[in-house]
Amino acid sequence: MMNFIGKMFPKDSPMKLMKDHAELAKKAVDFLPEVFGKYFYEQDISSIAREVDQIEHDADQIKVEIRKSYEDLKYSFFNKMDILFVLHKQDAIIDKADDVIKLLMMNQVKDLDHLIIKDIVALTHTVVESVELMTDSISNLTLVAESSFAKKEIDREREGIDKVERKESVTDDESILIGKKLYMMKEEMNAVDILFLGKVVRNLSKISDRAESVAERVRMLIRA
Amino acid sequence: MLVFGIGLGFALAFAIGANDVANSMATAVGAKAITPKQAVMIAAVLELLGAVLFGSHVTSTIMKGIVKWDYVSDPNILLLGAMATLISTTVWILIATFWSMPISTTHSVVGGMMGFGIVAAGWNAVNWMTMLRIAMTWVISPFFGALLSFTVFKIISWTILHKESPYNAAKRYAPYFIAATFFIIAFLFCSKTLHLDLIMTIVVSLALSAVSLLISFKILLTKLASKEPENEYEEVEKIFRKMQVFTSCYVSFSHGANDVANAIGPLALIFAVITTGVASTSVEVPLWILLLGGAGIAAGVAALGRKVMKTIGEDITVLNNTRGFAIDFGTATTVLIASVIGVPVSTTHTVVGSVTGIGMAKGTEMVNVGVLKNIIYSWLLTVPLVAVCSGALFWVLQKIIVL
Repeated sequence: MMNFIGKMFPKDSPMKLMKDHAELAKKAVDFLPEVFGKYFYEQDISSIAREVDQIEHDADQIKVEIRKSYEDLKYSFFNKMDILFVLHKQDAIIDKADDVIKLLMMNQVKDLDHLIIKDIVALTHTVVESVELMTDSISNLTLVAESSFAKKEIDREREGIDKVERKESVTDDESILIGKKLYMMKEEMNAVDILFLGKVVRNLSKISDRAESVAERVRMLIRA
Repeated sequence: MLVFGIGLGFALAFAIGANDVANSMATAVGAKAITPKQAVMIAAVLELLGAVLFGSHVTSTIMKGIVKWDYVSDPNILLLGAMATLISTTVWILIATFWSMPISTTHSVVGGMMGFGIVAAGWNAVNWMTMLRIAMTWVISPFFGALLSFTVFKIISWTILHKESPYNAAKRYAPYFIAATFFIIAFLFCSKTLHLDLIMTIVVSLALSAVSLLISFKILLTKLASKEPENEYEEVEKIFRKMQVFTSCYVSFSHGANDVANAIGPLALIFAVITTGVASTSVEVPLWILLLGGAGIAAGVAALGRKVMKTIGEDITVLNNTRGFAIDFGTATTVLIASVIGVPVSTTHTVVGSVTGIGMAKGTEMVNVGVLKNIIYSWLLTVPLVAVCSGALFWVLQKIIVL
């Protein structure tokens, strides 16, 4: 059978795979509020860690498929290098979520001030929201392409990118505030715990940083 | 000899129906505009119709245009040559099908005729100007398909997809695409098949396209008027899904018009020699031979096409209907124009060109470069290879058969 028209198209849409990959990043980050909830109640989080490991594995497989697609095929909606950069940053979000969970498994902070707990949980929610907005932005890329790069869809995408950037800024503010509060408690708290929680908070805020990097590159994608 | 020729011609038409038709309608099936079963039904009717209404032009080129009949005055040589062409083309297509090679039946049959002509009466027996014209269109047709599909897709983008309400724009502008298609078919049919004068051709074509425009407006405005879509692009795609049913008919019709000649060109030559007893270029292609070729293609589609189309349709998961429409329109228009000017072109290669055009317009996600390379290899390989096979077979037949 001379089926070579079918072979002109990728088996799976690389944009759909990108969206699937972004969804996995969101799924991994979505665990964070639950992880912190359990952590502060000194409950076991190893089962969630295993789930995130599995997500990491699934994301790696999608990553391989996307890279292969871009190696084999020629015309794409967006610049290949930019797409691969976005993929790398999305992957880094999953890695960072995994890092945060693994970090929490290493050390249990006990008797933490409930206001700090509240702030950290609030930060995890902001981080989740920033990744959610990033995922929407990746999903909307398909709409931009479907509309054949209509101006109104590009404008809508830019608005989405702005939201990610604003959310990242909120994350920064929240993490700095938590850091300040932690260091203000240096007289009452164990110094190792302060440094440990500071590291956890920095890692959380890096997740939003990466979501913002994705959004910034998406801005470049739709400009081209 | 005629019965053997009919058998081979039918077998070749059957093979074309089983393979070529599936590739030419792959984008319509892949974009889910039609099911494989519907594609089979459309092809069975429209391939035959295209073959009968427009098939004689290209058949005449293959029958009379490649080998100069005044150089091959012995009718027996023409008979053996036509047989050698039919056999070598059929065998080559079987081999290519087995190895999944992207060859063209058009290129094969042209190569076959050329090969026997050279062996029979030397290099001068081949009409090199016609060969050059044919070879040029093999390169031009994918480019033309690409240009047309690119342009059509850009027009769809500007007039529909880029509008504030793409759905309303689709209802307003989509009928014009249907009307344009009707105009082209009517214009070519009136001028080249009915041989009407230019004024009459334009009047009839405009009248037909106006009727199609009104009917399309009526359908779109009444059936779809009350809807308030959530995702306007999805609704636009739904409108084009319906329109792609129509363009898939157009592709099938054009394919029948052009590719029927591959199967019946040599057979028409056999018939001409047997009925007249002399090598005469004045013999026209009889209707029953066009019908036989069309029926062979339809039988091939009916027997094996559904399975092939199902496979190809499953391979194409990323194509939507606005793009599919543009691909089909580019392909069908290119192939139909080639048919009326009597040039045998490869429908499948034209589809490849049209798909590439959409890729260049950023309409579809990606295009496999490997396929394009394979097509260039096919251009370079098929004609000389089948020419050598056909020439060798002709030489052997000449030695063993004394007519």
